[in-house]
Amino acid sequence: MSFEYWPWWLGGLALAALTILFRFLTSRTLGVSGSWYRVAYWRQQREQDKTAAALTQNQSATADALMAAALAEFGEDALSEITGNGADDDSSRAATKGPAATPWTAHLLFLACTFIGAFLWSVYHGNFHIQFELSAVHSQLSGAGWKTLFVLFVGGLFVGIGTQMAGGCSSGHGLSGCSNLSVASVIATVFYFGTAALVSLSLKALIS
Amino acid sequence: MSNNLRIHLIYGGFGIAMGVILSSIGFADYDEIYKMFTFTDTRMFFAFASAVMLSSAVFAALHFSKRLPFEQKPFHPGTIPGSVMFGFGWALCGACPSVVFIQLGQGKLVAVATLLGIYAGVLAYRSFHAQNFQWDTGSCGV
Repeated sequence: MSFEYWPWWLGGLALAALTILFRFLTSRTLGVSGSWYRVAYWRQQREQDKTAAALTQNQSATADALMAAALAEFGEDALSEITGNGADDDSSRAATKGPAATPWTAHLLFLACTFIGAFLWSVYHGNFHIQFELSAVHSQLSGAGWKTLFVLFVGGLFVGIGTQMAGGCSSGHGLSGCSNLSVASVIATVFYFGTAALVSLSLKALIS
Repeated sequence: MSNNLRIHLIYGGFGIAMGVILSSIGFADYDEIYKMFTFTDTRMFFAFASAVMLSSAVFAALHFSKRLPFEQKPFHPGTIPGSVMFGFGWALCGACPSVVFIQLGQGKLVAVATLLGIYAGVLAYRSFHAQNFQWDTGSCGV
């Protein structure tokens, strides 16, 4: 290998920066299984995005219509008295809107970019090559060839079901949940990490 | 710049960063994952644990100075069984939901099987959940 993995402290700093900056820049908590859900159900998500956008527009339209009606009824002087001489319309609207829902395409881009980031990293380190196994150890544990594919598919199935049922994965429960001192996330992290350790230790005992 | 473009740029940027960071730590390398879960190497465990401790210190400081409240996730009947299933799957395929894309980006073509598995699992569980359960799973990033 032409590279060395980062030491623990550098990895810790980078993951912490990712978790904290994500919260600041998006007002959301980092969570990959949430993105998976929204991309997997992109049709429903697209409809929801449309409804949300229409609602926001309608809100402004309703406000404008009300204003026009009031203007016709009471005249301009009465109106400016109420609104405090042309109160900042936009700021009051922004306050009631709340943060807009993240469009599903942003979630898709997020997932696609983890792929691109890893590809760039591989090319940069000169170790990009097409591999037909995860690693020699994994092939030894799972049995080579079709057995590996079967184990990966079943493993993926459990990851998909488990993360959706638990409402989070290693990023949502592990990084964001635990660092927000969420009790449910700490419990979830203990259980998924504990189970993974138990299974790995059992596999190790089986092959030795 | 429109708000929509801004959101896409931010999410894309975080995706790239995540791909590079998780690759650099070794979370997409089955051997490193295996060493972490069998406690033969504590490097990645400490990377994860120190990240949680550092960010919880920052979030706690923001919470108690009333600048940014904690974002709590709900505890529900699916939390424990779901986590157990996730842990079981992670040990088998060496991938959590983001790592499968990272393995593919590194050229590990067999991860396509993992990808299909996760996709099938998400669809299967979500439709089962919608028909049978009432609770909110508390999935993040809405």
